[in-house]
Amino acid sequence: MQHTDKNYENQINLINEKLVKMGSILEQQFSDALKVVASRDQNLANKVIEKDDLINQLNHDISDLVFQIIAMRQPMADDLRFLFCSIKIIRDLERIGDHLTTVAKKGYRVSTNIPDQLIEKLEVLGGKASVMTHDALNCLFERKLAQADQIAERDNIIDTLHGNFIKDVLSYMKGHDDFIPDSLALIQISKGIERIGDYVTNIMEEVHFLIEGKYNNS
Amino acid sequence: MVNAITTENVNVFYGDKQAINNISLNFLKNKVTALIGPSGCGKSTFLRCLNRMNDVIEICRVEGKISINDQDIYKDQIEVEQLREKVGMVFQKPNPFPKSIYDNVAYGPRIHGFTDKKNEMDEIVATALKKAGLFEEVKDRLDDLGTSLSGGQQQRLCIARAIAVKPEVILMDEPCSALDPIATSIIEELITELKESYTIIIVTHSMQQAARVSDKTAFFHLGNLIEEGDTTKIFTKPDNQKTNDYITGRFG
Repeated sequence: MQHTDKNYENQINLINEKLVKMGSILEQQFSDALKVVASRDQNLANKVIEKDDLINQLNHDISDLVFQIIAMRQPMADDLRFLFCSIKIIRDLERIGDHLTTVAKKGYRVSTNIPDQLIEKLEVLGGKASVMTHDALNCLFERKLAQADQIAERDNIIDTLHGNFIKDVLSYMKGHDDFIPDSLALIQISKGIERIGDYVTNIMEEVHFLIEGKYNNS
Repeated sequence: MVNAITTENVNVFYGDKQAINNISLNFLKNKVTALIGPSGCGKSTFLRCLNRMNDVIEICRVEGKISINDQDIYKDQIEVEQLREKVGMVFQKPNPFPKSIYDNVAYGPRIHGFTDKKNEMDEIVATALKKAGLFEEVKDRLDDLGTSLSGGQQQRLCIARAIAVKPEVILMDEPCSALDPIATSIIEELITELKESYTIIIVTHSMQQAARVSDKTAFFHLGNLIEEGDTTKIFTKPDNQKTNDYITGRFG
């Protein structure tokens, strides 16, 4: 049911729209950042980096809107839970944007002489994290409890893939002194993606709270 | 947890029209319970059943069981005066008697024959006024008319009048709706202090007020009790969609 006061309804909807916008920009950034890693395309990398300003702007816009609603409307129940979670989720989304910027910045500079297998492993890791992020954003708008918990669980896979990748890069570094700077960049990219998994997990925990009014296992 | 009042299957009719549908709701001792709901939902009617204020309305009929200390207040041989000594009431509009501040508070203890000694009555009046947080403001003018006080002071005088007869329960029907925010805050703080000694049941249209002062909240809609529970739960994660819609401002 809609709020009797249409202005209130519109304010809440506006926050939702801006969240959707933030999510869709991030998904595009994610896909582009992974392409940068595969192709070393500097123009595409710049595109990813430029979009970070949009994400930051949306973060501030939503934050202002939530702040105003709390002051003017004293929200309760599902409205309160939505606003409370939004304010926490946008921070996580903003951080995800920062990490994608790092992936793009480091990605286009990696030497093309790095073995394909390493890049492919990174792509697998990135792909999993990207799908996880996509599913999480859908879950945020569809608000399905079982899905939220299941998506959060997937962080373990990301962590394992990241751990394995670091081992692979380290053993490659041992025999290839010339590629130490590139290897470090690969580690930073992998670490960035691993952190994104953590932020997505946080978001799923917030969605759990949004639906249930309490955190999972609390 | 001990109940101060228990109610079972309460139905209330005004003539043919049913105003309360089979409500069973208990009130914990020394807690504040808020009754919320839109106008006409039955919350005030239900509140007024608890000290038989509906008796004076000829066409009003109350069914079911309402007990205080296991005594059925409608069936047992209980005098209304006795009942109201146990269950005091404070109304929406402050309604002091057109008497002195002193006599407003002394009125109840006098008719209930608490004492005929002046010094003992002085003590009763002073204690009640202190408990109501009004004594310091009026101690030098106890002979002034109660109606000469400000709205917020008058409401505290009515609370003093209610507690002077040492009730167990205080019913409040929108006690702050005629008061400014400062007087409201003083009353709300007072409610929190008073629950140490009394059980308080408050009807309010202000959701924020219910959230601020009550331990338990019950949501009424069209004469039905939709949901009751801990106030923190009702205002953050109510179980019932109707409760959620009402407290978030989504009215049908």
